[in-house]
Amino acid sequence: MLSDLQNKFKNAVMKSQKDDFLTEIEEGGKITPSQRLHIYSHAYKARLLEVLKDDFPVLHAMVGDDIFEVVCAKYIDQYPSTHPSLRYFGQHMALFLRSHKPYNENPALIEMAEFEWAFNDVFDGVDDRRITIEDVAIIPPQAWTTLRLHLQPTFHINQFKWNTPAIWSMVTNESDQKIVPEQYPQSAPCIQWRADLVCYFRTLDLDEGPALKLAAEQRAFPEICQSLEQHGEQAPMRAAELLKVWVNEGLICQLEYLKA
Amino acid sequence: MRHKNNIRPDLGYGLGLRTDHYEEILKGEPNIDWFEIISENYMVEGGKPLYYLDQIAERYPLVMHGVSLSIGSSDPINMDYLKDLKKLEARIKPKWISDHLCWTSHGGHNTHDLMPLPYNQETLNHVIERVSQVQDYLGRQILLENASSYLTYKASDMSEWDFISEIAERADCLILLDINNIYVSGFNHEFDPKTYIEHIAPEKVWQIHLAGHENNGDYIIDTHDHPVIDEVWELYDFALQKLGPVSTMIERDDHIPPLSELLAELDQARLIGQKYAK
Repeated sequence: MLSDLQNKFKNAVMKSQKDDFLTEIEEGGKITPSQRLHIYSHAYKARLLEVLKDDFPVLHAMVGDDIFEVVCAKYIDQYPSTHPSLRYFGQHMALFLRSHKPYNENPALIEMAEFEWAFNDVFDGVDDRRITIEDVAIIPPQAWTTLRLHLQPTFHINQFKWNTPAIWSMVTNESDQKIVPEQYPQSAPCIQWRADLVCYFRTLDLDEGPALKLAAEQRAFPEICQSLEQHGEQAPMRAAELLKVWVNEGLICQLEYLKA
Repeated sequence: MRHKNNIRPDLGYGLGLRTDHYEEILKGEPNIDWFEIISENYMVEGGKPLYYLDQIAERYPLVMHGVSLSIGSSDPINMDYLKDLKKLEARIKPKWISDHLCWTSHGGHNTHDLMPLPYNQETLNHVIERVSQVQDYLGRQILLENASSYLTYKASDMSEWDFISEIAERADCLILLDINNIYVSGFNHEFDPKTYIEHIAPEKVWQIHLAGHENNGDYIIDTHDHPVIDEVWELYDFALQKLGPVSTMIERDDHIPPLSELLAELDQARLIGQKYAK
């Protein structure tokens, strides 16, 4: 039966359960059935390891070659690929680290896996236009109370307790500095997005995080102003300032407001 | 349903489209007749992959080459995959779509490798039915490529060339003949590559792949990371004698060299092809 044969081959390659399958292989030629099977099982693991190296280069740098290969070997065992494209193979890395000792004792690693995977999604996520300051300038004064912002479809926001973005920059810029994860005094929101073809990230100012979260939920602009109440009378000015920053950074893809 | 209009187009000499070469292709419009894309690399929602692909599709004919159709799997056909494939097809309007005669997934798990099939009647009937299903869904014939292999099954009772020929005939599909893969499998399984080529119906072969490999002494691995070797060039010459002119491309998947190196290899293919041009 074809299904039975494929199941045996798959188990030999993915789970090293070789005995059942070895008897299915024709003998003869210069190499043994065991060597023939090894070509496939080696290629399977090597290919997936390469994919994880490509997707998590900074996580790799943080733990070094030996530990990274151990992490990947366990990941490959526990999360066989369920998608036809290798693009999605690493999607459970943060979950894997979070649920396995000793990696879950090092939250900076989990944060880095989340950060690097988000870039994967940002890189080839849905395209959209970026609005300009000119688009903002034509909003009629009476329409501002109805204004809702649409952020880029690739927009991601994460709370980080560690200096994950700084480590990412350091490793990506090939700095010689030693990687030292440092815990922030309080967690900070970091955003990732793509504008046109370029992927960006930025840690948000303290007051900006709640305001941008409301914008991402497409709440009306007055609610965004209210979230900045610590600025008192200056709250609308601060909201306008943030809007200008978001527009210039290509974070906004649509302005929705009542025109009548 | 049999497909009509079965005249083989000749696209000339192409290359596998690789990210390293995007800018050079768009700036220089080099002497390449067409490109083959790895379908899965562009079955995404947006960003750079589709940005560059759209521009190259405006300038060059494209063909789509998949690695995950898993036509020989005992799992049901992955309709989500086919839907995405069809969406990409609508976007770039390829000259044709190909994948491999192999299985890549079982029990919902993907090996991401081209796993060999047992060559017997059971597999034959199974693959023929699935090719028909895929062709009906896509509304066009597909090309199936002979993959390199490193083992044969005791359950096989026919040659690979008879197997692929019968599938092409009975499923009414076409063949992408990889000359290097024939050489690699011939070495690994000790058959004469020329015998393989002699048994393939010329009208079924719409595309040829040429590539390099890694020779480990007792066996060869189909790595696609080296230039085409002399023996494969000779086999290509032999194939064109039998098949006539066929759209040909160089396939390099790793250790991607500068475009100029691949263009030089492509010129070598052109030189051989000119001998058999009609």
